Amino acid sequence: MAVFILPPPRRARLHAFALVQSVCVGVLVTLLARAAGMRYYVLPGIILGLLMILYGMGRPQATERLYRLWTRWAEYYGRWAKGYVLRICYNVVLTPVASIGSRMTGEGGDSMWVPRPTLSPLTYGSQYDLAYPGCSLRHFVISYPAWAYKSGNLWALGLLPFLLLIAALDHEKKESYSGHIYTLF
Amino acid sequence: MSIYILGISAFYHDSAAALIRDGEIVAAAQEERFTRRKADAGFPSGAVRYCLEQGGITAGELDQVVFYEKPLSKFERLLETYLAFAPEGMESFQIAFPLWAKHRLQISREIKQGLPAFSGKPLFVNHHESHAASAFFPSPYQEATILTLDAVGEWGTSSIGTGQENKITLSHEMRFPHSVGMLYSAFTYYTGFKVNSGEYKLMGLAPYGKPKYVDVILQNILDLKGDGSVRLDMKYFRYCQGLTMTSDKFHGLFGGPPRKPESVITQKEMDLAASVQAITEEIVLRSARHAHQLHGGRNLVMAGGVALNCVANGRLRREGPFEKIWVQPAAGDAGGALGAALLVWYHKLENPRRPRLPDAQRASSLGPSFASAEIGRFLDGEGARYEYFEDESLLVDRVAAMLAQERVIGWFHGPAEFGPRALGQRSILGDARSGTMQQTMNAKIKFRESFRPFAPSVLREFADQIFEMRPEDDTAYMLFVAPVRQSLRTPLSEEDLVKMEDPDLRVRVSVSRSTLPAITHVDYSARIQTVDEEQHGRYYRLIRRFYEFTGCPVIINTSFNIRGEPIVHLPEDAYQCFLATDMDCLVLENYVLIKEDQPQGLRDAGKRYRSSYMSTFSLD
Repeated sequence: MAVFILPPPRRARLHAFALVQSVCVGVLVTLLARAAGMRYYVLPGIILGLLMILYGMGRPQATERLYRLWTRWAEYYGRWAKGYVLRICYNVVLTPVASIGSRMTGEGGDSMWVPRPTLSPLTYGSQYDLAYPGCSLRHFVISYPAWAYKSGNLWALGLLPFLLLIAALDHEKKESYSGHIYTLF
Repeated sequence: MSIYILGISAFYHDSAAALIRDGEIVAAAQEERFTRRKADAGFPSGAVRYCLEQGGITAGELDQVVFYEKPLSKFERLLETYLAFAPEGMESFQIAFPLWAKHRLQISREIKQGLPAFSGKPLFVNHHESHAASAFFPSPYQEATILTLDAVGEWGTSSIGTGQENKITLSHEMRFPHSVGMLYSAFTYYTGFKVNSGEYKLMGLAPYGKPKYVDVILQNILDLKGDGSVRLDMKYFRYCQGLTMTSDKFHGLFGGPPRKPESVITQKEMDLAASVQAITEEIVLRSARHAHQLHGGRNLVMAGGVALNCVANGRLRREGPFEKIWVQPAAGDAGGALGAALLVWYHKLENPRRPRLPDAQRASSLGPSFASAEIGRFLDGEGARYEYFEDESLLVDRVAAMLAQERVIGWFHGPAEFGPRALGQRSILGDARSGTMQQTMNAKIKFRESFRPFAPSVLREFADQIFEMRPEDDTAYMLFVAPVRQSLRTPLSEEDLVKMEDPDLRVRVSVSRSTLPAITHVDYSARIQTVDEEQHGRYYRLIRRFYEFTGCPVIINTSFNIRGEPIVHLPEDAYQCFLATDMDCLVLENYVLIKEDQPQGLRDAGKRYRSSYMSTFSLD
């Protein structure tokens, strides 16, 4: 079993965690109170939620243990869910598109040398071989669709939700991969 | 006002940073030296920090930051690969996709995190154009043909072009998955070495074998065209869709699974190494001839990982068609950081270029250096015993005398080298005349395989007398192999010939083949570094003094590290290596430490430390 050694959480994160926790408990208590048929069923939830917020804001370190447990669980969940998301992505998006074919060429006749242009400095702002509107935008959520359109890879828009989901679920602290993998990066 | 451009290569392997000021190379370093992780692929924070310090600027004062390749073009290639092989490829996809989702599609963000004070937008240039720029712009030529031979960048695996004044133009490329770098790495993997770092071992192993698999390879795996381009039969490989380089079909062709790392090396591995090396040399020669047919010219510049194959480079120099060849010393991806920065300076900012002699690479002494005072404080803190030499000639006298007594010297002087080779700044030195030095250094200093040859540093003015090279040939960056001259070779006795067939490589290595046995490989070749006073200063004067003592202008020069360890970075790293190995002497700038003079406690600690030190760094 993997052992996670977490860094001390930042105060702001503990505050955020206490806030979310308080709201969740407040809503849960409210729902329970309503189910129990209480007349002022909103009150217990609000009072408890407010008390928890005050406590969490005043003494955030009190929630640290719970925060660590939650984070650890989230990491396990992320790892577990990531595998499923990747399988779905590969089988639902990539494999069907693959049936249409790939631009990866094989035959080359007498020579495998093919002519190529030297890229214009105008493309240096772009992460792709072409310059196009939006190509130099910093966040890939914006620049990725522009690339997919410009590069003729519109189908790759179908990968975007998976990319975002994987980015959220992946908690690996650093890149780790076999020394024998050579081409993929 | 000066213009500063920072080049970065990262997130594949061998991350690096390079800083240029008004087109001059100020600093360049590989991240592995700082993190002590070989071929570190992370963001090069340590290298960037060093470059900025060396330039005397902050990240906020950088005019441009440029990344050495175009991530979305590479991502496109990755997706097309999966499309070509789906439904195979799931296991590879599960590793690659999260890396892209979290890091590689967000490289702008990664750069911003690494350089928070930089307010501009990063630039991105093409991988092979970075290589081409790193080969041409620092070269001494006004115009040259360019050949980059690599594993893969975005789509390109090799390219041909020209450089003229301040412009490079690439005209042709070979495209993924057909790649000479991949082919070589596949055999590196199959023979039990690490991909991306063990290729040079395969090259060193090749002379022990016979190229008996050449026909098998050419008939089954590889279609080698007349112009040096290659078409690989992908049924024999799995690097597109799997987690290994080679497929079961490849293993079937060569009669079994890949050799397990650190297991015994058999004649089969040696013959495979000889075969793929012979084919690689043929590819390099044909590609260069094709480039010459396309673009003509007298000069050739080269970069890309395959350009580190100094045996092929040596043949190319001897057999033509180019009169002069210059190879980027950091020819792998680390050099891409430098090329990217130079590309922006010349192509985007359109600055004029004036070539320098011998070149603009500054002997590749572009890494960090340490002041004597700083080293003195460290040694005092450790309680080490040392001699301090204010006068360099006395220091050189002392060290040269020890070399002549077959002592092994750790030599740490000046700025660290940029690139994979130790060039006399972070080197372990020994007497090339010694018959036992190769085995001693492999077994007791480097803790590595017995077959590994050592390279010579030779005084520039004697190089053509010792090795079969022209008087005008320079190889300051240890990137060309040439044979030892016939007159220095010793004839093999009957007993020697029997030993040369022994399966134990230690026996073969023990056969003395020339008057310089420690640097003469079994095929009489040597990977030469020519040393001159202008470029190498104190290192030249050391070898010169050794020559005055012994009449021999050649010494052994191997990198200052043990197996699998990045070359030493800090004086602390060098001191640690000195204590943990059987090195006799350590020279840290003006300080000389003798092992037997060290306090017993320190020597004992070194011995105790040895096993953990070795376990930190495994064979690659």
